Amino acid sequence: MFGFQRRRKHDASEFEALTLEHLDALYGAALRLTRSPREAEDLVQDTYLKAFRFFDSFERGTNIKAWLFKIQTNTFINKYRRKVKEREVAEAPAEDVVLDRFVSSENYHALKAPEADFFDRLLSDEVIEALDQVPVDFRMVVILADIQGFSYKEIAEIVGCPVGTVMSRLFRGRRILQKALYDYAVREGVLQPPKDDCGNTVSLDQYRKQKKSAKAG
Amino acid sequence: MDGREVEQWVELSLDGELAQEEERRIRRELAASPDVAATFDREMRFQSGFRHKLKQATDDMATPSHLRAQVVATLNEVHPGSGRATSGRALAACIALAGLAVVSWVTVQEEFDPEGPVSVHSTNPPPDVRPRGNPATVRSFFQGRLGFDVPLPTVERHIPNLRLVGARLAHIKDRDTAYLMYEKRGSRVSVFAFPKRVGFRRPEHFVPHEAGGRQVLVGRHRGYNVTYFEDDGLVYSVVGEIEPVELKQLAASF
Repeated sequence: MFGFQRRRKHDASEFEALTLEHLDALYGAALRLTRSPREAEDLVQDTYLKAFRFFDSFERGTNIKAWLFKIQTNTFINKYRRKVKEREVAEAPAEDVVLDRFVSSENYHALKAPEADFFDRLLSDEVIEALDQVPVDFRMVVILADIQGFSYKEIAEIVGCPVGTVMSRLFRGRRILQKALYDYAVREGVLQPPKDDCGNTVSLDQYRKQKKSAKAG
Repeated sequence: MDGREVEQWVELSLDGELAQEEERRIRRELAASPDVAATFDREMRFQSGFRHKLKQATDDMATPSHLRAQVVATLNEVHPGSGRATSGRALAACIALAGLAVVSWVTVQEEFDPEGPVSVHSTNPPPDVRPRGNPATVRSFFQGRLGFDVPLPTVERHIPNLRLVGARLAHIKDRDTAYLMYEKRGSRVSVFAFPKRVGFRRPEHFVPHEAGGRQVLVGRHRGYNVTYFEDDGLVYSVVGEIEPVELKQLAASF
């Protein structure tokens, strides 16, 4: 028992030294997951509490930020997400009608036109608002990848799903968010609504023909 | 390589998930087809812009200053032997102080009520003084009428089209308040300043931001954008139909 006490004492200062530098990142992610400052604070507190309790199981020398995010994500899923009940969105069929319509639509090509560097013209609050509307399973991986900079493998470990699922959710999450931002930009007059011109799409046949002729040449 | 493939390769590349050999293969394919290369570059620009904006937007979110202290306090509660409290007596003192701090926080702090500033703003009262090209007129109007100095923000440099049109005295929750009136494209923007008595708790629907090195709370009340922050012993509240980002700029200009 005394040995345990001594070890814990040492652990506490080590724990603080290793983990507190990630507080801002954890809070930022928690805020975007819960969409409520008060719940985000509770989530971060719970995360630190759990992390401290299980600090013995943390393998020294490995990525402590990823470890903390895994705890926070699990805590969010188990405790907070019950309230929002968005699970069914993640289990939706891969062929998401809304998304596919967007991906193949002229809108998506129009927003990539050079004159449409419209992200610079959007306010941070508008981006946050759009991000908050993305279904939570997609939002989670977008936050982990694009804001926190985790690799696919790390995200897979954090959210507890295969790398392929991470890639798929990330792809779809980004498209949903981009579409929301695009819609907002058009609605607010930041961008002109698309005309008939769909932009330059690349045809696979055309590409293969070019490749063949290049080889022949 | 079709459009969808281009998107996927660009994402993998920006995510740092391409092996060197894959990168080389893609470069070779792009070199063989200028059309595909142009699409690839456009996609790369688009996705980079998207990520940059997303990162920038979320970086603006400030962690509440009290959260770190709360986390540390919680850890110490869970594990009394840790860190600063090394003896039983010191531990008892720490717990007592922490308890006192919590009680003080709960009892002394009141929640910021946006209704006060919004109700004054919504009545659109006329100014008692107009600057007529000289903001010093407004400053001297408050001198002697209020028990505190009212700094005028240098907003013109930060927010185009926003101009000071007048000022008057107001009362918000029995506090003598300086009321600065601004106008932006015909809409009034109200800035209220009154002395801080106690700290304010953040209303749940107000989001903390960082502006000019201070924490600024931004929210909406009765359809108005409302900002609240504290500086140099004064509490400021800004109400008006300007963008939240401009409210933050205004807050930063004091």
